[in-house]
Amino acid sequence: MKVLMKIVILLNLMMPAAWAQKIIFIINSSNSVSRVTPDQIQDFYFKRNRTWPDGKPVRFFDRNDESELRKVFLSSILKKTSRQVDQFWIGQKLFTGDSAPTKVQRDSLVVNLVSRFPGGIGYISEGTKLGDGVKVLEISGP
Amino acid sequence: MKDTPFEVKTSITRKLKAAMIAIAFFFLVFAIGIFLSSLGNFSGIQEIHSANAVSNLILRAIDGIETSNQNLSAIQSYKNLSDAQFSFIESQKLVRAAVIRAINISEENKVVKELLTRGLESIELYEESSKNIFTSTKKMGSELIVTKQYIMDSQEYLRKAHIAVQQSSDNTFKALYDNRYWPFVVAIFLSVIFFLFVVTFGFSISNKISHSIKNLSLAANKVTEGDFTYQAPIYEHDELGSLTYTFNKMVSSIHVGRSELNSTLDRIRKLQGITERFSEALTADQVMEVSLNESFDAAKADSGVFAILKKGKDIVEIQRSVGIPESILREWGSFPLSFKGPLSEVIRYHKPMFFQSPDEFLGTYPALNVILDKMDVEALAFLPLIIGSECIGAISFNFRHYHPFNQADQDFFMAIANQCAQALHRSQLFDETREAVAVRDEFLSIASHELKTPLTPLKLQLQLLSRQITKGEKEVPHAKLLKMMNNFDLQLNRLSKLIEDLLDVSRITTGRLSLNLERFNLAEMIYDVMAQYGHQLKQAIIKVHISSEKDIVGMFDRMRLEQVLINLLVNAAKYAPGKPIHMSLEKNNDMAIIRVKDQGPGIDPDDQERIFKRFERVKGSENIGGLGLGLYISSQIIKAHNGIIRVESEVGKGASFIIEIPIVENQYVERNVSSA
Repeated sequence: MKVLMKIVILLNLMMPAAWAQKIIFIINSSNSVSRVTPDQIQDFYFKRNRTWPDGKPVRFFDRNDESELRKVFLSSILKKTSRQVDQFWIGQKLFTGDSAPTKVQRDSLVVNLVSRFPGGIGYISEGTKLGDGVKVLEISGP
Repeated sequence: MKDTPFEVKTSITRKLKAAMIAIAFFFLVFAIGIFLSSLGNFSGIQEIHSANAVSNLILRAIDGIETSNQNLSAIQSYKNLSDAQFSFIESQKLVRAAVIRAINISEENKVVKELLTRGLESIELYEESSKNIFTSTKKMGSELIVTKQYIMDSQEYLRKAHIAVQQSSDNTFKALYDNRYWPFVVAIFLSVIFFLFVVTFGFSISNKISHSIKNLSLAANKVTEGDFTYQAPIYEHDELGSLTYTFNKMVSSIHVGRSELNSTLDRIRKLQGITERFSEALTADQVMEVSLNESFDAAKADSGVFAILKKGKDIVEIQRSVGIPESILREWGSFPLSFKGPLSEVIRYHKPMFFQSPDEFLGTYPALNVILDKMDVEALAFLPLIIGSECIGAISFNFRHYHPFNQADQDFFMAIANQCAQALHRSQLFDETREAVAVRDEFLSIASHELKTPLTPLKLQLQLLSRQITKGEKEVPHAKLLKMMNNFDLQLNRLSKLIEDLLDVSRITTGRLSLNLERFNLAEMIYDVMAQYGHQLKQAIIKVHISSEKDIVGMFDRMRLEQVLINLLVNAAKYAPGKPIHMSLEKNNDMAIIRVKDQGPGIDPDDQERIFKRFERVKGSENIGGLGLGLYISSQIIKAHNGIIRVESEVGKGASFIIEIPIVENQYVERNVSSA
């Protein structure tokens, strides 16, 4: 059974990479950071690290559960399922008071919000029009 | 018994006071200890209470924020935006009030305060941002999300604050729970200390007090049983120690008082013994014997002497002695009263002398070291024997060991000396009385013999005459009769003279000798006496020498003076028969001096005073008749004339009687007639 589970999860991870959209991280253009590791992204998401190096508060914008892009984000960056993430945030709300990042429906809205918050960070699908207020954040490593 | 005064070093009262203060102090410490150990708990409870309040406020605020959040979420369902804003603002009022209240209450918890402050900032942010929502509906989507970001922030802060409050409350409660036994622990710890204090200090004090009281009680029992030598030991230098010390002193002084009383009683008993023994002793010899034995025993003396002042001679004679070397007695058996020595000075000054050491004695009498060297003495007492105003002798007590001669000793010795003096005086009176009785007895026998002497021949001759008459033989020749008559007359004169003498004595004794004064010339009287009685004296030669002043005229009793003169002449003729008698009269400063000098055997100096007394005669005169009253009567007559009669004589060289009488011109002169 366990073996079967592992195969299913492996397939799940492999498949989006094969056909899903390409994921792009954006940050406010005033942010001096240009490259982070996926682990750093994880820390930002889970509010383990709440500030940028220059002291600005990190504001992570998540995507709606139905969004394909979020699935890519979960599998490729967080390496967790949606349930695991929900479970995490239920626990966090009780024990640390932290809430899960706000979930946004559309790419344009993500761009809008990131441009409005100096510490903002979000992910959008490839090809979305970027305004002046945001810039792409390079993801280094695997 | 220590002589050093008792020093109080500690005090029971002070110790008890200290104990009281310690107990009071203990209770204070107890109360403070309990209070301090509970203080944490009180503040803990206070903290929990305020945390509870803060927690409730935060929850209410979170609730309010949630309401606002839902309000915003449902903003599109509102027909009128102003209604939604009203509802939002009302709910925000409650949220703000709750947060501000919570900030105020959690003044001390900085973490909570910080979180709440941030939360409040976020609330302000989303309130500000919400205004955009209610004014424009254009960018509703993004504005709503931005506002909700701030709402999310404020919710996060408040939740974190709530968690921190809970945490702190939990910690406080845990500490409270952990420390719940502290007050008991403190109470038990202090109680144990107090218990130890009571056990050590309290028990020690009570033991010491009880020990001292038992000690004192034991001493009191011993004293009650009669042990006055017991001295209670002093354990503590406190009040009870002081009491014990005073008790000991009291017992000692009672002891001393009792022994003094006993010694006084002993002395009184000894004095009584001496008195009893003296009552048995009659003669001076017996008295001196008893004095020496009893008084030496009573005084506990080792040696001493009994000295008597010889009357009229100013000579002190040692009559008895104990423990005095023979050589000293031989040399110092008698000495003049004027001698500078303790016995003579004691007699002279009527004062006792006490010497506590030989050095002290030699300091006063350095010359007497010759006596002291031969004796083993350490202390000496010399006591006068005083009767009235007269000192009749002295006794000395010598001691081989040191003697303090305190006042009691001195009084006791003086009491002994007084007893001796009284007894000696009594014995002397006894001796004198006995002697007087003997003299009178002798006089009676002489008087009866003298009275009988003329009577016997008288009786014989009368019987002879009577026989001759009754026989009627022949007439008694006239010559014979005349001779017999002369003889009768002579004998009767003799008797008459004897009876007259006895009558004179009686008159003198009863004070009825009166002088019949008349004015006459003494020289004439002497010649008359010579003329009248000269032939009767049968004396070969009587030489009379009258001094150049022939007329010695004064007021005298002629008969009595003739009686004196005849008496002296008869005596001279009696004791120096056939030897010449010289008589002279002279005048010396208003004094008439008559001398009658014989060439008889003379009179011993010892007898010269005595012969003028009643019934006294010169020793060795047993063969010479007479009552021994002549000189006594003569002396009394001269005394009545305010004159004196004395004798100058040496044994074997005759005697010279000298009469000195004042020549008185005035008739009214007081005359002394003694009855002695």
